[in-house]
Amino acid sequence: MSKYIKLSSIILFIAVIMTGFGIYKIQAKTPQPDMKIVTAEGMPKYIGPIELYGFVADSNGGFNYPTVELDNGNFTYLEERSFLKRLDFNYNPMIDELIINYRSFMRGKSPQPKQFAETAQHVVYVGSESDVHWSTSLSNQMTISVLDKETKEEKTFSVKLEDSSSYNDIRAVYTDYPSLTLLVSTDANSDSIQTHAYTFDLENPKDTLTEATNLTKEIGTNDYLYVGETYDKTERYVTLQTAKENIDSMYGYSEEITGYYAYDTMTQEVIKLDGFDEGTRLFTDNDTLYVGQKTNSGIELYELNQDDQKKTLLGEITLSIPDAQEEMSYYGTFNQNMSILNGKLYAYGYTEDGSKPALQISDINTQDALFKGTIELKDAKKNDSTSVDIIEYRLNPLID
Amino acid sequence: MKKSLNALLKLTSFELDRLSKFLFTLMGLTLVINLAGYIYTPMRHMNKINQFMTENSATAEEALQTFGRFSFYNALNSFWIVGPIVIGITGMLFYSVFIWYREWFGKNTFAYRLLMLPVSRMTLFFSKFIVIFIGIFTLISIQMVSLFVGYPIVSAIISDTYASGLSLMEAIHAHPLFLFLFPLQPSYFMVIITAGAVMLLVLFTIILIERSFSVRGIFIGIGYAALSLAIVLFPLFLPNLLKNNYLFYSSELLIIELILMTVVGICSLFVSRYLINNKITV
Amino acid sequence: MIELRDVQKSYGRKKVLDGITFTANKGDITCLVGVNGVGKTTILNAIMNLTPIKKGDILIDGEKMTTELYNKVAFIPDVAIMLPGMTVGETMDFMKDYYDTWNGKRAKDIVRFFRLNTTDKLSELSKGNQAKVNLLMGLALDVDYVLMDEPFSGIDIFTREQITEVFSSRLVEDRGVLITTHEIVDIEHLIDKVVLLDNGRIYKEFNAEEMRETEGKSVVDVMREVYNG
Repeated sequence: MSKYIKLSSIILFIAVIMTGFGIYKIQAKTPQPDMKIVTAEGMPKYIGPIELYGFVADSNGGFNYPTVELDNGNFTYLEERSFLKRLDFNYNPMIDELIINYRSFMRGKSPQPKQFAETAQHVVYVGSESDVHWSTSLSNQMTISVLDKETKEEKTFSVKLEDSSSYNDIRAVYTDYPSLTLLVSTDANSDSIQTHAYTFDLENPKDTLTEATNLTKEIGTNDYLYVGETYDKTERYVTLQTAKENIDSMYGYSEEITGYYAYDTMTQEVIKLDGFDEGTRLFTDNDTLYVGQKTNSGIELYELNQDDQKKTLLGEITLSIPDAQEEMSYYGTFNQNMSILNGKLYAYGYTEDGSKPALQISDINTQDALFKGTIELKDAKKNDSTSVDIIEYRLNPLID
Repeated sequence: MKKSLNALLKLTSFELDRLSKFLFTLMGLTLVINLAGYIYTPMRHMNKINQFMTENSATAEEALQTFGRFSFYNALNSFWIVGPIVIGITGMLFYSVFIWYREWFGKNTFAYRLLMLPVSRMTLFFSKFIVIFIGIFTLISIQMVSLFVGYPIVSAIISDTYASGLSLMEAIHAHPLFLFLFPLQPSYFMVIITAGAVMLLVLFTIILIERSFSVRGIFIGIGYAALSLAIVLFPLFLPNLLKNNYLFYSSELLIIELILMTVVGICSLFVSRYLINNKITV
Repeated sequence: MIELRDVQKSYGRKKVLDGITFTANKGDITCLVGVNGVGKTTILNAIMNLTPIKKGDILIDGEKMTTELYNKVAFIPDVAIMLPGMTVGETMDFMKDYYDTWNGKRAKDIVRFFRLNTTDKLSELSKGNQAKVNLLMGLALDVDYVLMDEPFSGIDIFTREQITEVFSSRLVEDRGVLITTHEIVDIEHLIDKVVLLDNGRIYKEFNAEEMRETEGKSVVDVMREVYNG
């Protein structure tokens, strides 16, 4: 037996240390701080459609920034998911949810929310080979896929753009099933990027996409075109904004908004909206366009008659989130932090001292605050050392 | 079955005996160099602060602004800790090759005796394989011990004013090297261990190929290594071959990868068994 | 009986064994004779499955070589095969650990006979004593066959005498011994069968006693004829 002393002691040493380490690890593990929604006004039931991801940074917690997810009013940490599910996590709430629910349909599709439109019955995807395989050269071929959520039936159509120009970027996909409207930017390599609107009938598919409108020509400017962030892709209007770069100095530039437009997916017309000045914002919800005007304490909301462009004042909504008043644009979209969905205005940002994420939901007709509140840690003592940074936000139009 | 397990135990114990000197040296080296690091790095930091305060008549606050707080992570992320880990990994890699060749090229040709033992020759193979893993886990364990010893040392040298308050576990979690070495995330650690085991099986197979076919074996061995690598890396080329980056989810790619690694591992075991039983030359 | 049937082996294009067929019987001392490089050691290695053969069969009492048969056939190579750091005693313990057929009593007898010291380290032993340790490891096993490769090479005259004595002792009694050597004079009178090798082939196979009686030639005479003529 003595000849096994070395072997048994080394194995015992490993076992003891590994077990000790495991026990220490479990003991030393501080559980992720619990989150809660603190309601200042209204009722928390209204936050149902809000889905967001945030990083939780504890100034005493080293370099660990766990990701927290708010979905349907509940907070969960990414690390609560199993190892394999964590690998498939997508840092976009819409795509992540689609992958969880329609894994097979989402396979092989570009995980960009702007390329999807979801309704209660269908999920529609538009993409091309270069979207899913980056070294493939651009072509005018596109794939349109539609999933029937109930029957799980997937239909895929291969279509090409009417003109031979290669396409660059799908800017937006809107659907009023079975009709589909695509906003596509083409000819990325030329000096002037053209943005086109195409229509497609999912029930009566053709192999060529017919251009409904050349937005660039209709708008008549080569200024950069931004598409409004609308979380419901069944809206009638697509809000648009043109902007140009002003070079301020050798190292800096600023962007100047040069015009607001709306594309009507029903009439396929571009509506130029006049009378916008600094602090004006454009929203859409269902069949209506809205204009917001920044005030000292919030935003004045108008309903816009698209025929004569007459504005009817709905009232002023007081905003308790100062930074929501400023328009936020990135990745070619605007209105990141404020939008109207099913008659409610949703805004998010941070409290005045910048310490906590803040949410506000108001009824656009009565201007009543349905919900005003913040995201905080359950353990109030930790609020000073811990901050939550919102990294992704979206509204789920299918939750009311 | 009992007899062959007994033989495996005996041979493993015998192999471990032969490894022990080398292993104890690596363990000692790790402890000594780490200990030097636990003392030197925080002392250097404190000296810098003290010197700065004396030379500039600065307050502790100003010194903090210039040098920042010192955490155990700073000590971990130094040559004194990373160095021995690199030495350990290199050492075990070297030993994985040496464990076979010493039987042929040592002062005496022990390969004769080993291959003429009335036990399955794969028992030799497994005993060497297990011993390498025991070696690796011993070094991981000694590194753990060292960290537990080092943390209070560093905390004692750095005065509270300049300490960051980072806990031992937070410092370990923050260091990417320990994500590979320690079972911080059990599933991830299992993947690393599987990959390591397959690598070792392939390496042993290559050595046996060389021992069976001599010079020609070197080329066949390189071919076998390239083939194994190609099989394991194949999923990474799938997106390009199928012209779609999103055809597989990351979890599926990992499962495919694990399956392919297992296939390579099992193939290596079969090839090794064939070679050690039929082709090996003393 | 150890039986080789049409055994062939080559290194690259060079044939080292070409159609080797012979038998070595239990109870006989069979001697593989030939000048250096004719393939004697390769034959022993091949029997012990320490080098692969290209073609042919090698059978031990009608069975192919397996690891279990290492309890039945012992091989004593002409190089040191235990770890230099081990003592003679540790070597014996090692053998006892793995071989069912290890005969401890006989091992002690051999140690006494060779005047070995069990506490001596192998690395400190002379070439002759190392050869004795090799013999100890092979002969202390209760095996049916013993293969010896050049037991006399590089060994002083006194050790040689001791080893020669082994062949006439009960240590090899009843066993089949297959020995390779090109220094045959010392054991010529003990040999039953001679297999003469030349260029990887069997040149001649004969019974030593018959050769002496019928043709009046010693094994060395036959060797001279073959290799000089």
